[in-house]
Amino acid sequence: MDYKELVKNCLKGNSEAQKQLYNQFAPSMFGVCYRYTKSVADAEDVLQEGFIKVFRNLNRFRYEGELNAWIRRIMVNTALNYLKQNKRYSSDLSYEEINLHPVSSENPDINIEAKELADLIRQLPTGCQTIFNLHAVEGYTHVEIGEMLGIHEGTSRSQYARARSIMITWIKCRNEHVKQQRYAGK
Amino acid sequence: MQENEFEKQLKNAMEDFRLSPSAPVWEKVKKKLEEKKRRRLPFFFLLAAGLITAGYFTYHFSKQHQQNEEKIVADKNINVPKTNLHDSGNINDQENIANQNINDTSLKSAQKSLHYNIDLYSKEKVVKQINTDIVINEKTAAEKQNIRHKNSKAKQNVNIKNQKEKTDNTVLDNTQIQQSLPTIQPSKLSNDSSEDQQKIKDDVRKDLASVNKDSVATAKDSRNNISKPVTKKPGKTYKNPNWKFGITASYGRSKLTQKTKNSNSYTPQYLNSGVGGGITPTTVSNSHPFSSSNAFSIGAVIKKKIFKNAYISSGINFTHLSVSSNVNKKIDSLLTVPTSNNINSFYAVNGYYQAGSSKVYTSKYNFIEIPVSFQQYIFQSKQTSLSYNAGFSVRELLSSNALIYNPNSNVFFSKNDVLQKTQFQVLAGLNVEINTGKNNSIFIGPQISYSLSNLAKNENIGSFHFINYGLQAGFLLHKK
Repeated sequence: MDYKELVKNCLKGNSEAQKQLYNQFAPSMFGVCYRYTKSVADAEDVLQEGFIKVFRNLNRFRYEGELNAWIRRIMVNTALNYLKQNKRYSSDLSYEEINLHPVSSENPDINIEAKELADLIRQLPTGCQTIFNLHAVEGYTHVEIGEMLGIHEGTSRSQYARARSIMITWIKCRNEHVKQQRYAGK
Repeated sequence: MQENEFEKQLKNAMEDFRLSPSAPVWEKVKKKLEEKKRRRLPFFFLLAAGLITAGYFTYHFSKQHQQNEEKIVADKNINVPKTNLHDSGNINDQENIANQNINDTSLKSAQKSLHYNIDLYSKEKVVKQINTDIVINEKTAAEKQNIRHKNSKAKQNVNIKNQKEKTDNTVLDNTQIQQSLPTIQPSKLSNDSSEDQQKIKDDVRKDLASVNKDSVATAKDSRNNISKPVTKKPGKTYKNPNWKFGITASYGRSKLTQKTKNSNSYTPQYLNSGVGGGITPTTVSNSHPFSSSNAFSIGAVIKKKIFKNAYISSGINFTHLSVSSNVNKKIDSLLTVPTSNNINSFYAVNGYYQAGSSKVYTSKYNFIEIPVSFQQYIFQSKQTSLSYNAGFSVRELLSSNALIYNPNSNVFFSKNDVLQKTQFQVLAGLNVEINTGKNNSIFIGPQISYSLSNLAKNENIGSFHFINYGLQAGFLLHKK
């Protein structure tokens, strides 16, 4: 079914169409929610809340952009709200400006499964994790991130530099570990 | 470039990242969506119930009115049957003639009073009263016949002449009627004091007392102008006072409806990047930027009766409306906003908000409002009444901290100069009014209003119209 047709049917309150839309987008959106949270249960909470918003606001979708991108924006915003509202995250959600980390020039190959990479992102401190997701994966600029999170642009940059540095270190370690295992296997 | 290589790889890896959520997630989503539908149901149910009730009362009232008119016609055609005392042949006794005359005359007089002159409280009651009187008259006549045959000496106990004099009056007032019967009947029944007779006597007395009570106001007129027909009022009519005045208060929700211009509209320019400035406007957002929020009003109202069951009302209200928006942190940068259709004319706004989710900003609007409305009662009784009202109002903006939304740049800004200070609304509602005393009442009912005026002076900014709805209640004093 064409997605426009699907949206129209959802707007009519057709529960079959709603389920179809959910089934179509839930796996990729769950991936988004998974990256922003630290547990599967929290990711499912965000996904649930996000899809409720999607269905309630579907009449505002104007068919100008991709439905996938529109739903994704809602999921990201829902995840950010969830982090702010949830004490487990908000206490750890420190956006304090830290000393600027020099941006690492290293660019290790990311020959990692998506799931494993997402798990690495989730190991980052919550503040870094959020900014890393927003900048590296979603593609928001630091100015935009600053506005979204209510922080200064510089804070976003430094947090990202730190997150990137940690991620590169972990990926390198992981690559080394895999290499060693391969040699050991041979 | 190298730096971007890492992000590029990461983005590609994450693009295809998919995970299956557990099955209960969809069930929870579905449940929540159904809950929302259910929440809407009471509103529609109440609306439907209100309309059905109004329809029922309108139907009932018009039907009752029609029936009353038919009864009035029927009542005018009632000829009170005379007793057969005259035709009984053997009754030549002056006493009996006098009795008959007394009773006939008194009942006729009462009927006449009822028929033409009495300000009736209840039409049905009158018909019942007359019928009762007729029955009583017949019973009394039959009773008299029995008395006549059983004890002809009873006539010695009756002061015939006195009664005759009374009954000879062409018009008897009700005081006379009341006085006459107790005098006659005890004497008449003195030799036969059965319970039935006593009951009849009491009934007659009660009925005449009732007639007297109802006719007291017009009894004098009836003597002077007995043949002149007076228009009867149908049913249990409640006479509306000429004036009503009092205080009102309402509480509900207000929201802004929005119509955006999609093409060729002016995009604001960002001046002087400053702190956090120099940004590129984000993509155009078509989502509705305002959510409903609290609204209330308090004021005074005055109503003038213009028809039997209709009023024109006006007053003055202080009206507070609000809407909420999700915004991000304030950007301390200059933004230009067009002042008219000429794009070379613009305001400079110092600071604005981008649409986002950091916080909820409540835009508040305080108005002074003059409503004018027509109110008509669709059902009315002595105690309660149901009416609808419809009209218009004029509002003048007193103060506001409102954010205006520009969909082209997806930003909110605050600039009261771009707000249309004078607003015209249409309004409508239903009211249930309860009389709480002789000269006062309270009312409550749903009200809705829609602003015909654009909140923004310039359509390039957008087209925003207020809609607010809620419950209105008030206290009214009546003045005849």
